[in-house]
Parts: sequence; C-alpha cells; structure tokens
Amino acid sequence: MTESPAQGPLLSDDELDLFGEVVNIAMGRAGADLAEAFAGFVHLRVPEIRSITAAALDAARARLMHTYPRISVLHQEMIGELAGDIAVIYGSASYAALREVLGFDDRDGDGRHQREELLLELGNALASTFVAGIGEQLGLRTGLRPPRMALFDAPVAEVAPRLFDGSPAWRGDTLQIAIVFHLEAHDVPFELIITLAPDCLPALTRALAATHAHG
Amino acid sequence: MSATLLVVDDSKSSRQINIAHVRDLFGAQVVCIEADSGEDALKTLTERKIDLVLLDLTMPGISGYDVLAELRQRHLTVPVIVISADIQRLAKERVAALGAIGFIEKPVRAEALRAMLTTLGVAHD
Repeated sequence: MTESPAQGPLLSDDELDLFGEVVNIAMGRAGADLAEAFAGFVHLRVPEIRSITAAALDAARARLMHTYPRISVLHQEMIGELAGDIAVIYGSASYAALREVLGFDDRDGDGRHQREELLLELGNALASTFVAGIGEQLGLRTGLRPPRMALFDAPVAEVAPRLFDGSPAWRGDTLQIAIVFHLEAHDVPFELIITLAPDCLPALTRALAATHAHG
Repeated sequence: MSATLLVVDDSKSSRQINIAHVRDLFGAQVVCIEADSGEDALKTLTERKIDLVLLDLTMPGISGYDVLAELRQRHLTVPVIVISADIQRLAKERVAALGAIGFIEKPVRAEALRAMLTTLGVAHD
C-alpha cells in the first residue's frame, strides 16, 4: 500500500501514535475473543494505519492477488460518528483450517451455506468487538450494519477488479487500518481492513485531542 | 533512594501515559527512562542498572516476548512487568513462563499500576 502523497498527512505524528494505541487496544480485545472462541493462541502484529488515496487501492488489490489464490471477503458498513467500511479477508487456506478448528464436516449437504455462515459469524464477531473497542475509547458513537459475504471462495485473479468497489477511499484521501490475526496452531491468517469515511476524520481528530487531554 | 524504571513501548503516547501514572503515584521515588523498541530496551539493560521494566509486547522488530527470552538467555534477572493490549489468557501464561512477574492490561489504570508496584516493593504509598 502506498502512502498518501501531496497534501500532507491526514493525522500528525502524535495523533497517529495515539490512534495506533487505540487501535492496538481494540485489536487486543478482538484477538482475545478470537483466542477464546478457538481455544488457541492468536499472534498479533503491530496494526498498520496508513493514509490512502484511490490510487492506492490498486496496490492493495495487487497485494491480495499476490498473497491469496482464492479469497472470501466479508463486507460490513460502519455507521455513526466513526463511519466507513470493513472488509474481513479470508484466504482459501484459512477457510480449510477453520473448518478443521471448528470440527464440522461440510462434505454432505449444503456445504456452501454452512461455510458462508461460519465466515459471516466469525467476521462479524471480530468486527463488532474491534469497532466497539475503538468507539468506546474515543467516545464516538459507531455501529455496524449487518454483514454480507461480498465474495466467497473466488479466484482472486478474476475478482480483483471488483475488490474495494465501494471503498470510501474513492471519495477522498482517508485512513485505512490493516490488522492480521494469525491463529497459531492451525496457521490461519486473516485480515481485517477498515477504511474510514473521509468526512469522519475531523471527528476522529477531535476525539483524539480529547483522549490525549484526559490522559 | 529512588528506583529506576525502564518503560518500553513503541508508542510514545503509551510511554507518556505510563510515566505520568508513575510520577503521579510515586513522585521522586521512581525515575523513569524510556525505550521505544525491544532493541533499545536490551541495549539499555546491558548498559545501566534498572530496577524494574515495564514492557510492551506487540512491537515492531524485537517483540516483548523476544525481550523476555533474550533476558533469560543473557541471565539478566531484572524484574519485568508486561503492559499489553494482548490480553489473551495464553499471552499472560506465556510471559509468566518467560519470567515476567506481572501483567497489566492496556489501557493502564493508575490503580492497577500502583497496586502492582507497591506489592512488588518498588515504591511505597
């Protein structure tokens, strides 16, 4: 993903640092829930917060094409003072491992329905915990619309042009948060990508200033 | 005599919050110095006498887990309290197994820090 060029950063270094800690704490809560659900350990990396432009979406598509041969994508809309777009990205390997972790057999019957349900539940739980954690810390009202599977086990090379179709980044330069959760025992990585709506950045900046003032 | 704390976190705001809590709680009893990475922490720990480390886990490069493992490898016996947003039960068990003497969840509450430091005898109310 490329950095936003030109007009200068969307957040100052101090704001970015503080927002990074807020994201870190929300990620930790989501990771703990995930670990509990799978009775395992989840490796957490430092979350990435980056300024993105519409042009950067091409780079994001290219990276996903390079990383996963097939992908499933859960899409969920964030609404309220902190609005935007959430994508939970599962590679095909991660789905196979998830099936093993959860111990269900989808070889009979409507396997696709079961699989979609599984990915929806997991993604929704992750996104909900994460977004609630951010909103609570910043004192911003935010919520989620119901999730939907935007793509299911699709060859990434074929669907790449449709990835990020509705991204808020098309409406202006904004911030994107990228988090990778990695289930240790089953080598299951999946990604949570949150793209904030450009018009909620002023509220974010004010909330960060208030958070900083209250220590 | 004052105790010297090493506050290790890649986030400047997080270090500042922890140091502010320590100063509010214990004043001149405790002197805080900072490290913004695992690498910096290990360097400081080999060069200076430190009474206690407040250590973040999730950092770029050398993580908090790596710092704990390296301290053990080098037979450095400085007490370490982990301060982390990674609040998984297994994370707490793993850092304890690596020798950490305490775990405080982020966001850090002053009371939790006070209780931990007082219990450990690093500072007094």
